[in-house]
Amino acid sequence: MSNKPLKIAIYGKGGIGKSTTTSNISAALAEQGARVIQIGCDPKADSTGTLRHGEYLPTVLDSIYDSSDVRLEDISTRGFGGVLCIEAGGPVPGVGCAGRGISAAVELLQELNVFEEFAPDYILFDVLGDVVCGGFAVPIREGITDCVYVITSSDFMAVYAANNLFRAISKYAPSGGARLGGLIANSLIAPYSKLIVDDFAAKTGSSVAGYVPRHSIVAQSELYGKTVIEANPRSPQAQIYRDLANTIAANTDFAIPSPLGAAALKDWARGWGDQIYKYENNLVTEYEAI
Amino acid sequence: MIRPADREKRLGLITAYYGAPEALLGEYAAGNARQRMRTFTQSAEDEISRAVEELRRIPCRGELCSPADDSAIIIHGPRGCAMAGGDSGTKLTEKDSIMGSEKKLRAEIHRVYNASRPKRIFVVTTPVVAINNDDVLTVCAELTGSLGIDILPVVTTGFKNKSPENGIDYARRALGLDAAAEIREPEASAREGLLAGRRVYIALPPGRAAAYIRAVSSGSGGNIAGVTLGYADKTEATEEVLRLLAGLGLPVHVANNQDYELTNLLKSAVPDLFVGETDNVLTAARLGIACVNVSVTPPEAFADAAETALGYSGFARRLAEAPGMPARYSLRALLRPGGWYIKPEAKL
Repeated sequence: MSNKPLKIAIYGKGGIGKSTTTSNISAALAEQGARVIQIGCDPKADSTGTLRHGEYLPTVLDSIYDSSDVRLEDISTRGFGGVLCIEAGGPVPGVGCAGRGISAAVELLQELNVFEEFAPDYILFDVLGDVVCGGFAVPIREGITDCVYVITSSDFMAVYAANNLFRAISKYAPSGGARLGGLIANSLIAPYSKLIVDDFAAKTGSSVAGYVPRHSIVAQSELYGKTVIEANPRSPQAQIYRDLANTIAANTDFAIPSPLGAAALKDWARGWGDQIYKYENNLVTEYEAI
Repeated sequence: MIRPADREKRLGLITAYYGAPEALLGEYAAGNARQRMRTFTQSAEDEISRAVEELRRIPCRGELCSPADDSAIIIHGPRGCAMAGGDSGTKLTEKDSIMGSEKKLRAEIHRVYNASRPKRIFVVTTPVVAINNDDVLTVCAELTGSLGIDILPVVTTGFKNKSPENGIDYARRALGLDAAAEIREPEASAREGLLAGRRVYIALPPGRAAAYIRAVSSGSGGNIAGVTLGYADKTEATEEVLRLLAGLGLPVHVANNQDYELTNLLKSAVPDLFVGETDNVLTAARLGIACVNVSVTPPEAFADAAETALGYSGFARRLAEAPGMPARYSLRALLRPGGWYIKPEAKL
């Protein structure tokens, strides 16, 4: 590895599997001997739970609030494979401003020289849901990260959120913000799921870094408070995460995506709706339709 | 509703206009008075400071709401917002804006209560609290119950409208009073022939402006040199002023303490006497114009004050020419018409 860490932001619709995927990527990279920091940028502070077996970890913002003298050891812990786990945290639901919290937490981590002192090979920012305000865009602004991976399933609302994230990336990338590393297709179930994500990637000038099928082993591992890499290291699902991690580690081809406009996205979705309807009702053969 | 509808919506209030009064009358008659764009705006009083001012002024259940009368005003916002003039503030920091400000507010209310045992505490909110949608109402309601005094929220935002006049309504609503739609100003005193041959410029809100235009022109024989209204709305007072100006063939200027615009208009109008409130009076005095400050002169004393000001007009001229009085604007800037920066619309 070079001295300069690869800084990765991972975004996607709420509930799409960002923390699960990010933690498994971190675990897979650490398993190979890399030094990894994973930073959860979500007030729920549950990004790194499976890396540290659900052990209590004070959040950055709680520490800032309680003390003016915050040290790295107060806000971090070592998880599986030595991954340095940090949770930005934030206000309780319905109070304060979580977006500003992300901004303040990232600022504090920079002040603490975390990235220089820990000398990581990879830093992964697992960021809450959509970019609903400027605060949640902080990890992709002003050179804080090098690239963004957007997790999506083939569900329209997940693709819709991904398209919105592309808008944020294309806004900040020209002025030094992070570029798109690619999509991560997650929770794939239907036979046409992969094709939908591939087609969206093609339409938006992006690419797909990996495909993660839905599997009960993921939920089972989480119930044990572990990543798949740790709980079921020999499973095919663990290998899928390792392949994804290796792809991300090797990728240097970052792009500025071209998000679809509202009408184009609607037309695109309708087109797929028609095809899925025909497929589900056996109106045409699989190969003709999709 | 804890927050009455803004005057912009309720009364069609505008704060930027320069032009024919007939056109503005027509817009109000048609129900479509449009706010103009000001492409250069000077900072002026806002709804928060006006709300605080009003809380000090309006009777509250038969008593005046001031510290002397056992009321306290907490400015719920960052340290900088204390400029609004309350008795204390919550001094919110970035941490509070992230994690919520309820804790600080509760602590400050308790502190003020324990320190001075007021009969009521007003909590005046600010932009940070509004942007974060912090829950002020619950805190006020809970502490009203536990402390046994009225903790009254005044829900000002500082950014949802353009007129400070809204602050009056928010303050009144906090006290359970109706939003002030139109206040009839008392007549100003006049003296026949006092202002004969004199040109008088008036810069006041509509209700007061109407009263002083009557006192100056029909009452004292003076000529109206120009009028700046602090705002215009669809009340009778605005309509009266616009009709008077239309009859005189004069334009109307609508501006809330826009010093540059007023300076330019006064340079053109060259009045003998200026009638306005404190901020505007300073502008006129810098130009050497004799002034009557109606913020400190009661309406019944207007005629005497005007006579005094005109009798000692040399004082204002010498003040303007004093070596320590710097020019506020370049000569080139003053060549522009007073309404130069007021546009029907602007592309940003």
